Amino acid sequence: MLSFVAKRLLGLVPVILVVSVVVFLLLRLSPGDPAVVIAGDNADAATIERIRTSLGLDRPLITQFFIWAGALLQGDLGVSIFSNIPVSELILQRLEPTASLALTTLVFAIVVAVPLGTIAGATAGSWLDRGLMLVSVLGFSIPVFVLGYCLIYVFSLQMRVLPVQGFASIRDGVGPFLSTIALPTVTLGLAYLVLIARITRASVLEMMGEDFIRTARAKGVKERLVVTRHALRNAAIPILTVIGIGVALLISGVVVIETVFNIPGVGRLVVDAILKRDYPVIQGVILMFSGVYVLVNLAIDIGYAFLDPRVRY
Amino acid sequence: MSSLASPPVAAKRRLPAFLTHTSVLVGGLLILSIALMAIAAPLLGTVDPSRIEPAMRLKPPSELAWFGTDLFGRDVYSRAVYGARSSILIGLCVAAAALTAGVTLGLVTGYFRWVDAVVMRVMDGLMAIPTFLLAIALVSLTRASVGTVVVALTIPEIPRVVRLVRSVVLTVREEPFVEAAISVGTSTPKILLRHILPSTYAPLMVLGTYICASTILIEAGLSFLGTGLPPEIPSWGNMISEGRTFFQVAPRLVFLPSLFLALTVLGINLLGDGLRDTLDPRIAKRM
Repeated sequence: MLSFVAKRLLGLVPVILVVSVVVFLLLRLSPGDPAVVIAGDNADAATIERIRTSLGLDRPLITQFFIWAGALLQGDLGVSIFSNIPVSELILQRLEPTASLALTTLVFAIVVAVPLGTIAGATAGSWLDRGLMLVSVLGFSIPVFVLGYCLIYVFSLQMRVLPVQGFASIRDGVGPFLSTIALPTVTLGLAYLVLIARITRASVLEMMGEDFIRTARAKGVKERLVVTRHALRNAAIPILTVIGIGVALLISGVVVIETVFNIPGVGRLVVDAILKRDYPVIQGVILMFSGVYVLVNLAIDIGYAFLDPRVRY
Repeated sequence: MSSLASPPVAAKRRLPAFLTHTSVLVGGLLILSIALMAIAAPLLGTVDPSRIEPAMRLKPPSELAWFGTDLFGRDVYSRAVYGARSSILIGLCVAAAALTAGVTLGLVTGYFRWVDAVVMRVMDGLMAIPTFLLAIALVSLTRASVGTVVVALTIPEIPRVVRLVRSVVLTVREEPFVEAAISVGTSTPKILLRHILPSTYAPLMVLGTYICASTILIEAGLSFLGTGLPPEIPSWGNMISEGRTFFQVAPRLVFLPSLFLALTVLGINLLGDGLRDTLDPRIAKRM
């Protein structure tokens, strides 16, 4: 087991290396002199020169990379060009809304998708199954911001039951927290939900044709238990995989959704940074999100080995 | 069931099967009508989508402007109809560019083991960066233009194509007919292009539709955040982005382009699902 975990961790090294090289090159590849870009339009030659030396931009590219990566390993993501605040601090300040939204979305999507997908898979061809497949195509086709505006229109402008925009921390009370996070959660969760439900349906359906299901039925196990104990449990691995892959969907969605609902999170931070070309912040946020994505998928990979003793590499 | 490696003749015989599939038909019709709308935009009762008329700002729907006017007095209906052009164009360009680059890399990495390790590590790394973030970061490097948006949207899609092509090549290169081609002295480029490449057509067609759909969504998302196409270009993302400030007073500014956007993506997705089901059921597993 330990050697399996070690092997997975070692496998991450090239991925992390490539991600950091790509993120590093993002700034260096931008057309023109990064020092001029950072200094802004009205800077004089002396300021540009000062920025160039302080960022080490006068050194060879490979040296620059090692300086940057060395700082990164110590948790130093650099300093925002506009606010002069360390990027890690900026991210930490904005982490709570984003983390809350990601967690509520994850819970919402899994809690709805797994039972729905299981029932659809066990009753393939039924009206519920067909309905789910139809909703899933729609779910993949409606852009997350369009869905957001539709929900705001219905629930906030017409029915006036939920606030239009904003975010309330859970420390301000569960009521305000839930009422502000409900619409963003549903909006962000729909695509993720249909993705999980589709895979759940497909893998449960595949399991329903297996010999052990027939055996279970033959020995008189109740149909409900056949589905949950035998089919769903054996279908767990593809479901877990898609939950991990779907985190990318969640991350992309968060960036857009925080703008739609005016939530002051990390997604809003990176959009503002992009509009202002605040490169250290862009780099920091991309590194953070990629890190989260890689770690979630690593955890799931290791999770397989615990769930299914047959998985050993 | 015929295998992926079957010669193109078999694909021809299957043609009627996918032409009668419901979702291929519905999706295809939807796409066809939107494409026709894009091409025939000037004939559909539209006016110049970029003409600014300050006197006509934010007017409600009327006989002159069927869906009213926007903040700058531009005709919302005309802008939405012309918007189909930029979305479809960018979707097609990105799908073509990503497929070309991905097929080249995939063929080479799948066939030559020594390239494989290097390229696949780079692809793994690129895939670890969420598509949307990589795309906005790339766009942010340069001033927004159609060209940079196409490049920025293509790069994150390439790893998916490479993986798919590579997985097909890895299976096909062990087939007896490839061995036979090698034994009679066929050159390597010819083996790759004539004997291996055709096996990737069916799965690539399906992946191509998905790339097209996801590109249109991502482009709209970029424009929505103000980092996509230049604002003067009538695109659905730009319209939604401009309209959102007035969402509470004039939701139609957001809803009309949203409807077109969702219908287009829905059509492409239906087409893709149908093609996947009929061309080869096993494709789904490769993706």
